[in-house]
Amino acid sequence: MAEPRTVRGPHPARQGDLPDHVTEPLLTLITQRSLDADYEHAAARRRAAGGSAPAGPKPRRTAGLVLLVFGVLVTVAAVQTSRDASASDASRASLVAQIDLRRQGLSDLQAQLDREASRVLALRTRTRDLATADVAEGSRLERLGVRTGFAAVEGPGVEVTLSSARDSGGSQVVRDADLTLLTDALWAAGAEAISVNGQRLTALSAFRNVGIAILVNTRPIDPPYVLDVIGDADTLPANLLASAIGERWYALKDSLGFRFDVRNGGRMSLPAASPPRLRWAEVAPEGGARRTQMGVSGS
Amino acid sequence: MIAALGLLLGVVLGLIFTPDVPAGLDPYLPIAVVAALDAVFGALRAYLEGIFDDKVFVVSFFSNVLIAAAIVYLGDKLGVGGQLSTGVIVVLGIRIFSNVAQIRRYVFHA
Repeated sequence: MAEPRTVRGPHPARQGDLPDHVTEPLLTLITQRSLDADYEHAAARRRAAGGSAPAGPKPRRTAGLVLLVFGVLVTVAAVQTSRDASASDASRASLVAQIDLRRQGLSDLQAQLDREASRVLALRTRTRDLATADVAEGSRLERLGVRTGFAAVEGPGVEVTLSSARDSGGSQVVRDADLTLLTDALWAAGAEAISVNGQRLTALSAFRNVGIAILVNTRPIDPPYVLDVIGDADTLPANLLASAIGERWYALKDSLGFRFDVRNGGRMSLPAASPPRLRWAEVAPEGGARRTQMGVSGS
Repeated sequence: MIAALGLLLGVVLGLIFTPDVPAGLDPYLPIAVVAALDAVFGALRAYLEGIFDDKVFVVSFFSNVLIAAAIVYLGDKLGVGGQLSTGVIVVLGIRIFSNVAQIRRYVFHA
């Protein structure tokens, strides 16, 4: 299109030249042709027909009517736009209100988040403290379990065997009081855990006569009575002899003729006693330890 | 004189009746107004240049309005209504500005 060539266009007078609308830049063209070319054509036609151009053609009724239409058009557009504007303003205002509301909610949530975060921090600290306490309580429970007999233990110790005298009868058989005295003497001599015929002695254990049998932990045990005692195997027998209660025990067994033997048991393991089932006692809630008697009392 | 009267009457009529524009024609109304504005300023310039013609004015007015609306309608159908109406407004705006500049020259003899 840019190569120069003869153009057979609507302007034969300018043959050999490219027309304006090809050569001119678009913006310049628009500016130059801002007036409708028809006015020029009409004026030229009039000049050609009537010789001289009319001095000042007055707008007639048609032009007035067209302007009336124009006025209506402009007014309707303006009214419509302002009507729409009120509607869109309303929606815009409601949107702004919503934004404000949501932003308020957001800051509330943010504050709540901050609060919750500090709470989480506090709870985490507390959890750590409680975990430490838990470990401490756990080791304490273990110690207590060993002491009270509700945890299985093992360690070096001695094996004590006791039975009644041969051809004994009547009061010369081993009774509950005898076993109680023996175990008391063993505790005093430094025993840390004792079991009798496989029954672990706990803080609640007691020997009890029922007929000819002896009950321990509500289980009957038969002679010979074998006591597994965990403690210092080297010093325990000597301590038993040396202590006052041990002395009493030796006197008793000599007078009744019990067969009594203490020997090193090597490494022994003692079973745990089954813990008693608690029917009424519950673990007190924290801080409720000082609660006093509240129910109906008989006094 | 008759032109000014027509314009005034048109504004008054529009204010009194405020006809509801159908929602479908809503986007074409502003374009039509700009096109009509262009035709009116062209006519004013032609009048000041002494070459005003009733018939040319009427034809250019209605054809401007219709073509502008048709272009935007077509653009809407093609999915480029916004861009096409921008283009129409730019071209018409340039024409309006240069016409008004010419009118200013005639009125103030500057």
